[in-house]
Amino acid sequence: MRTITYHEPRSVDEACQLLAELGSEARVIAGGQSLMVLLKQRIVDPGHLIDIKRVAELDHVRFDGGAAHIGALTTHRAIETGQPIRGKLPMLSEAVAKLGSVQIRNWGTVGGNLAHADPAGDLAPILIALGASVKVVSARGTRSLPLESFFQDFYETALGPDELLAEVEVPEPAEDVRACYVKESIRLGDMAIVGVGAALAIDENSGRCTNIRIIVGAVDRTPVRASRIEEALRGALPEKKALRDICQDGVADYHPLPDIHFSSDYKRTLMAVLIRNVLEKLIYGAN
Amino acid sequence: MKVPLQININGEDHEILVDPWRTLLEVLRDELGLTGTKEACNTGNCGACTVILNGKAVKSCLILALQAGGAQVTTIEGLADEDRLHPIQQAFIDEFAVQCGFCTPGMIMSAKALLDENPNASEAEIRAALHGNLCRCTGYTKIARAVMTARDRVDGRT
Ligand SMILES: Cc1cc2nc3c(=O)[nH]c(=O)nc-3n(C[C@H](O)[C@H](O)[C@H](O)COP(=O)(O)OP(=O)(O)OC[C@H]3O[C@@H](n4cnc5c(N)ncnc54)[C@H](O)[C@@H]3O)c2cc1C
Ligand code: FES
Ligand code: FES
Repeated sequence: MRTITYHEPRSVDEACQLLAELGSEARVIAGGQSLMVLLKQRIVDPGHLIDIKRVAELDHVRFDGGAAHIGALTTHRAIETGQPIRGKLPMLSEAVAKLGSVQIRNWGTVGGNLAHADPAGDLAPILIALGASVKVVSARGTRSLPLESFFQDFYETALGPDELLAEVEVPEPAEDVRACYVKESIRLGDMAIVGVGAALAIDENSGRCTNIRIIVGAVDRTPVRASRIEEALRGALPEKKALRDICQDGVADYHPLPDIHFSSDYKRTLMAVLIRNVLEKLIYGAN
Repeated sequence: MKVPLQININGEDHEILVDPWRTLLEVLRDELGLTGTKEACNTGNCGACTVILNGKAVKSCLILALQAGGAQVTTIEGLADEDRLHPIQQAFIDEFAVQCGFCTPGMIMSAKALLDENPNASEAEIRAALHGNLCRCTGYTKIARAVMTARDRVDGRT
């Protein structure tokens, strides 16, 4: 016989109090679009469910201090279709539109997607490329950390058992920043085989690449940076023809995790192709 | 421990006791006998269980029943007006958009959520809205056509 006690806090304080008392006995549920399947299969079988979907203070998008503050409960659909986010962070809206289907996006949340920490998740690569950080709260207080160090392993994050992911903070990109996310999947809206989020700026006078970040999802236990490609392009005036070699060389050291459909070699090749596609798009405006 | 759930389904208020881990789909089908909403994959992939919750299409197999507490839920049973089918239902018949029919309730609920929000949806928007609904029989062409027909009829364009 299954027993789960259900809690429905209405405020962050109340949720944090419950987490402080129940700790790893409890599981937070937001949209459940990842958790429900695990609950059904009893891969996750908590004694307590803390349903945060009605904590209104976690459902907000605010722009202030030069950054977007996206509450953990903001749905994917709100990011895809809502203003002002579409206007100010169009690359994020476009990335989210590639996640699942309308039904999933209507109920799934940004916080749940990040806290679930699926290495193939679509939000992490573009958010890390944009320099996002996360705000984490608990009865002990509040802390912020770069999203890049939030992910620790397969489905493992820096969240302690008493902590709640409260907000994602995304710096508003400067005028000259270009960013986008591309993903390859079996069908539109399936989990990524490989996903690449990248951001860079082109210096107006010299035409050189600056501030380049390339983050790749679905190839390792956490999103990874394509550091060698970043280095090759930083401060460079890359020729379109040279990008192919830069990308091919730049992925040589990676050994992407294979899955039931795709070998490691295939994924490495795909990684180089997708990174090149993204860079061509960002640097030359090609599609 | 069972928890009281208050929910409005197709305009009717219900108050029942449910186990916290029960899905909205299980409550609709097993507790309330509303078997028009179909269960197929039970993992969020097929869309057969799509219902409209406070105006939004959602997959009822992936939503805790308790999360729908206080909400307005519309299922396929709530569309027809007595003996008069809803225009989307009628269009599915007229355009031969049904073969085995198992995906049909979910398809129609997704289409309804779209047309309620965007009565002039283009074919591309219709196909995008139905993307989360799988059909193993029809090949989608007639389904998309049926939704366009319904759109045009409701709109008074034909
Ligand atoms: C058919 C289908 C297709 C999908 N396709 C994609 C896809 O293409 N790309 C993609 O990235 N994802 C995809 N997903 C995954 C899914 O949409 C997201 O991961 C999901 O939206 C997670 O958000 P949620 O609110 O539903 O989280 P939940 O399922 O409620 O929670 C997920 C995990 O995060 C924890 N959690 C949730 N919120 C918080 C919080 N605020 N603080 C601390 N912990 C928290 C929970 O305890 C749980 O462990 C798909 C899912 C389905 C069912
Ligand atoms: S039964 Fe819910 S999506 Fe398949
Ligand atoms: S009509 Fe058979 S699955 Fe669609």
